[in-house]
Amino acid sequence: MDALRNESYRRGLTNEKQAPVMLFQKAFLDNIRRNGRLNEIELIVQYKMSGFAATRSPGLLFKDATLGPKLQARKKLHLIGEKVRDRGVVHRIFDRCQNGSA
Amino acid sequence: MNLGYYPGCALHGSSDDYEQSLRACFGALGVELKEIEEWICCGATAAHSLNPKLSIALPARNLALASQAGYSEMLAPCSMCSMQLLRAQKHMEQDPALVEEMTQIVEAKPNGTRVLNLIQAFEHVGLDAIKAAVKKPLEDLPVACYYGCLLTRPPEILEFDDCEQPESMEAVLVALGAKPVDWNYKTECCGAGMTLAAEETVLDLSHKILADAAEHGAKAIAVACPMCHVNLDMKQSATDAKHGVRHQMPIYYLSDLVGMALGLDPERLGVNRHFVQRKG
Amino acid sequence: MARIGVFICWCGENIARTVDVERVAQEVAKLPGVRCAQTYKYTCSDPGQAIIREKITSEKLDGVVVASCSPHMHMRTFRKTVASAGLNPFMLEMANIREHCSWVTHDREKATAKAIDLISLSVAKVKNNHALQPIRVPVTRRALVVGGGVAGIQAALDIADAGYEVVMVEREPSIGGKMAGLSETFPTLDCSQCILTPRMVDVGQHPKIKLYTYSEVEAVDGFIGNFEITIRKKARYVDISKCTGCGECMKACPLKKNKSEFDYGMGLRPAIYIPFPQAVPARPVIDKNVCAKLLKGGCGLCEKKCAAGGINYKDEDTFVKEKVGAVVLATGFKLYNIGKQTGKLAGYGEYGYGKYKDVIDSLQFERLVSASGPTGGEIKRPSDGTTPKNVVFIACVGSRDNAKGMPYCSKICCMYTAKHTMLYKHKVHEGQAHVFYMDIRAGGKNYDEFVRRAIEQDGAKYYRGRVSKITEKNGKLIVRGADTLSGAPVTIEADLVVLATAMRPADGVEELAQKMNVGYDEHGFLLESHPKLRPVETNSAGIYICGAAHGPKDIPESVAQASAAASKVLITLAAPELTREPEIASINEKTCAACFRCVATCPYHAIEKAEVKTPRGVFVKRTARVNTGLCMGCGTCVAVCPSKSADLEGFTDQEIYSMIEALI
Repeated sequence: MDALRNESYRRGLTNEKQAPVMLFQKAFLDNIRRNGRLNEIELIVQYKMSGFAATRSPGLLFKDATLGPKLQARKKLHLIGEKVRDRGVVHRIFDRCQNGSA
Repeated sequence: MNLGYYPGCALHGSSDDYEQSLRACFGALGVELKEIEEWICCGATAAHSLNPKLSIALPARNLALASQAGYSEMLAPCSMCSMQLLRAQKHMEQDPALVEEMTQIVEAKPNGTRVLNLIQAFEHVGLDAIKAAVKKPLEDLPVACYYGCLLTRPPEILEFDDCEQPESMEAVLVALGAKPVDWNYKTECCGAGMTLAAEETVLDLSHKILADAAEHGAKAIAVACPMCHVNLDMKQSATDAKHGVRHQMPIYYLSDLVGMALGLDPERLGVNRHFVQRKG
Repeated sequence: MARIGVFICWCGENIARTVDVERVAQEVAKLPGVRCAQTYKYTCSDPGQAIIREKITSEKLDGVVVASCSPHMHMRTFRKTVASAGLNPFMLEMANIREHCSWVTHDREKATAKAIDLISLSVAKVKNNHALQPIRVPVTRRALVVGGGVAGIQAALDIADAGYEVVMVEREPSIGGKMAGLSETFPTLDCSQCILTPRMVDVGQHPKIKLYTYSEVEAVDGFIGNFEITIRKKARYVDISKCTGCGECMKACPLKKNKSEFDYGMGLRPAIYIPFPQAVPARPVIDKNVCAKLLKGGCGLCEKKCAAGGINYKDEDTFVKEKVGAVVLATGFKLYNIGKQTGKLAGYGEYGYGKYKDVIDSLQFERLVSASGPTGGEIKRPSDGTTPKNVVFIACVGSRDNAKGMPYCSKICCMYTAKHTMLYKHKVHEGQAHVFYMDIRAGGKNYDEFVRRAIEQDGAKYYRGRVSKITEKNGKLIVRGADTLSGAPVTIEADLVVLATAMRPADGVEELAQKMNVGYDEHGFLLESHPKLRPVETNSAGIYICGAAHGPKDIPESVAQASAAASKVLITLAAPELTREPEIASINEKTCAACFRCVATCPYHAIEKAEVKTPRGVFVKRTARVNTGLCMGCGTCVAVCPSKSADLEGFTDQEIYSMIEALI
């Protein structure tokens, strides 16, 4: 199922309408590479910033802003994200898979 | 008894009410969840969409860590995590050269730890044992069991339940005294990880699921995945707003229902942290 | 001293353009034993053959080598030529200097050299050939037909009308097969039973047809011309000879609500029943799985009501033996069991068959449409008996599906689905038929026109796409599919869904095929000798196949194949004796050590364990012995024999070694 997706990404032939999804997935992978586990706040910030940079529309920046307090009220907002201790191994795994180098 | 435990990013993030529910529930069943040390993200949708090798490598590392720590079984309560782990495992089973390659890449050898989703974890404890431990039967609560995409598909990889007409979650609920309803959207997609990037799609899909559950008489929906929970619970008010309805459908993690039937206080299970609360 | 004649063919330009045939003739004439070597432009022609005959006589040849095309082309021709000149036809060898020589190179030098080599091989071999006689096998001039569907019926009638006795074995209580349950047939919309039942009656009344119904083939012994078949007659609990077919027993039976097999579960029948009114024989059978008397000793009402004394609760399976000379297998098909398969075949749970009463398969729909069906020919929803206003037909359910292990096309479904839409429209004028299809296969005579009629005249809507899911809402079936031609998803609220499921071979065909020594493919369809040129013969001599047992096909093809199989049977039965090619294995009984490795290895079970006795009957030794009626000349026994006692006539060790020596 992913074969077409992978191939179009590899060739740079992705659909413009899917740009937000592409930005999201890239931000997600960058996030894991840095931290080993997902840091939600960092992800949202990076996603919104890259979305704003691509579209120049501020709407994306402020969407879901009201969600913040609601999450906070339910103790679901974790400002400090978890990091894996040995992040070096995560970098190396990513490098080997993305560049074929160690 | 001890059970290996792979939380995944969501359960340590904004879906940590799910972890709270799991620890309380399994604690009451006498099962201690032992978190795999130094686990890393499974890669989720991002890895398999953009980099196939990474989508095997990240789970492979976790499988290696689990077997190194000596766990024969491991609970992965997020269905995306469990599917990715099983997928990597299946590919490696069929290709010894891949095992070699992954061992090089992840700097550890992935071995045979059995990955369980939440339903399988309850089956592992034993439905009869759970039924015997029920203190507050769920009084014929009409519940719609929602499997979503990844608990039963792809069937060749997961080999769990019937992928078109599953019944395993219903069996757990029957043991709790609840009354699962037959409905049409058991395995339809909720939008998964697209909550931020494709919100409109998520709202439309969720609306259909919530509406169909209600039409078939459900008073609650049971899920076994944090993404399903987010899309149906946290986004329910946005779904309501977009479609001009008020679904008022509480969404429970399966462990919430098991825990409550075992007599645990809902607050201890984290039910009060959900967005949509049960009326009355 | 050998006297060999070599005849080198130009084959027009095919050989002569590349091979210097005149030089070849000069060179091979020098080989020891060669009396004459000449060339001719077309050796297979009449004048060419005349030259061979002339030389055999004038040169007193005892061996002939024809250097020309492949033996596959003209071995038979030249054997006849040689025989007509009085020389044993197996004293002929062909050297293939066309397909093996002139057609694979442009190099004249190399081709000529190779031609000379090939001919010298053949010359060396023919010097060692034995004069062989065709093997004669006596023939029992009767035939067995397994299966009483339309194919079996056609084959039986053809053979019987030609004057030979036919034994027909059918495992259902009546003959007729699937065709007896259809409503109307494409492309003429003839009433199926109306065209079939006269044939069924013909079979039932034919003086030369011995009909065993409710019976199965238990065991098969023997070989072509000499089969001995053991037939199990299953216990009917009704004596057919006494029963008058009055039907009182069926009225009296209190257990009326059993699912009717003939109606594929859409209707009911009593425990004692005739499957359908036009059954042949029209005699009932008792279902021993539900009959109260047979299970628990109660009831007994049918016996009380029977004026002819035809009920026999003490009936048991009996066995009879029949001797026949040839067998036709016409065991037909069944539909893919959706919802009841396990393993790789399991699937299509998304269609809800078995979960929703109003999702049925195509044979079940035929029974709904059929005038003699459970609803009297009125199309009614199984769930509530109302008339469906929207019917969805789904094609290719199971067929062309690699993931389910059924990658083949079932051939008839496009046609019968179009037929179903038409029959539906003719009965429910305000109804709308919807068809989800992948392709339309309508390759027969008037077939494409038939499908166009369904669309243009009877308003069937065709959507090119698959259905992803069927769910139920307020009593209606919600069918979600795709229309790939317009690119849009399609959702239809249907009252009834009909699944065109894949055609599969009948249950139990693998066991029967093993008894008959006939091959079958991975789906269970019986294997023909050659897919193009020998579609009704099998690799087991004397056993022929026809109809859906061979592969998915419609009624005209089944009937045609049945007549074809019958003609093969008639060829077999026509000769007072059968002759077989003598190039088969032979065992030197003097040197045979009776290890019987060959017996175990022979794929045709053609080697017997025998005893060598003196003329007075005193036992001398045990030996393996080839059954000349069964041996197919594969040579496997020759390869496994440790004492070199087994050899292959026409390809003996001596012949082969002499060829190798000639090369060195």
